[in-house]
Amino acid sequence: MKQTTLGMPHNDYRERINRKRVLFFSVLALMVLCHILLCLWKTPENRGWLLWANILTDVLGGWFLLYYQGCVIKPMAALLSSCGQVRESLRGKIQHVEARTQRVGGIDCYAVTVDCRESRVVFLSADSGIVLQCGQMVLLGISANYIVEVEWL
Amino acid sequence: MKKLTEHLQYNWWKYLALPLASILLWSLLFSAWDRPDSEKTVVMDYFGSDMDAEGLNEMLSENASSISHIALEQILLNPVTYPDGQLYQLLQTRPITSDLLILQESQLESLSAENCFPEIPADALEAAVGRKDLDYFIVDGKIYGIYLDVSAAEPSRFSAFYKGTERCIAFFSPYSENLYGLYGTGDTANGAAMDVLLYLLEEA
Repeated sequence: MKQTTLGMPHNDYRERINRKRVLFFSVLALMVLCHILLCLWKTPENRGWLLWANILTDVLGGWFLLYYQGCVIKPMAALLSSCGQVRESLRGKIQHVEARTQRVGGIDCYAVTVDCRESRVVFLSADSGIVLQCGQMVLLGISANYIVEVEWL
Repeated sequence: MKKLTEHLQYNWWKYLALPLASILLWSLLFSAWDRPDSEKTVVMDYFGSDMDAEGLNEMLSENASSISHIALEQILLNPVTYPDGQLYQLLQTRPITSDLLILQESQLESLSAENCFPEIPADALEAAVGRKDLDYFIVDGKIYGIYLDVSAAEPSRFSAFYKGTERCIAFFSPYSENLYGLYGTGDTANGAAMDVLLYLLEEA
């Protein structure tokens, strides 16, 4: 059985990221529209609460955009850029999979130790959906030390 | 949840900075927005004493819309305090943001008006105002100010709020945008500051 880190072809994955980006910019445009409407509505009587409405729009919209960019779009884009062409193959037994993730090149990864001719550490994206267990015999497709695809032998 | 926690570990300061920046930005924008247009505001700096500034401001605010041909949003008499003997330094160093500067006659003893205030071009002023019965403050044949009380028999609106015995003189600011463009600033059709001055000179 063979599985890629992206779980789908590159172009489909890129399309998926673009859809997320459309949502990001839609929320941004909605915020701007909201500000325009609030400012057009401004009178000396409602000045006080319109000031807070504008601030609330910024805060809620801004927090969402920060979360969405940082937790959704950026990791996906980083994963896509890391999963280029397979540069090398590595056949061996999974020796150890770290329980905790670490950030490598902006991607949260598990460090995986593979026992081939000698022990080697490669990185598996935490977002990939691939589960590796110790003792499994695998053929790994590697690109820049990231696992791009896994074939269970 | 774990992903969010890790994201917050690296980016918590952005979530904190955003509300602070937003509050700062919108407060600045709203205060700039609420500030009346300088062409629709007449400010007078009053350097003397014995003045019921609060009462005068109240009266001016109530009548702001009818005083001038310009729809004024704010008319303000701003009392200025200064250390004794420092008036000249104050006038030389303080940035002038008002349209008119009002002083008591005795205050002019410590400074020369011709060095502190611009000359009022009489012809241009009379052409714009069309009123010649004003009591001018004149130095060496040149007009520098206008007395604010025409006569004791006919107390002016200004006199109704002024409790002193000395005469007060209004000087023009060369930076005013509301003085018919006498000093090259503002619209030549905007004489709101002059309208306010004439209003104060009228009989109460």
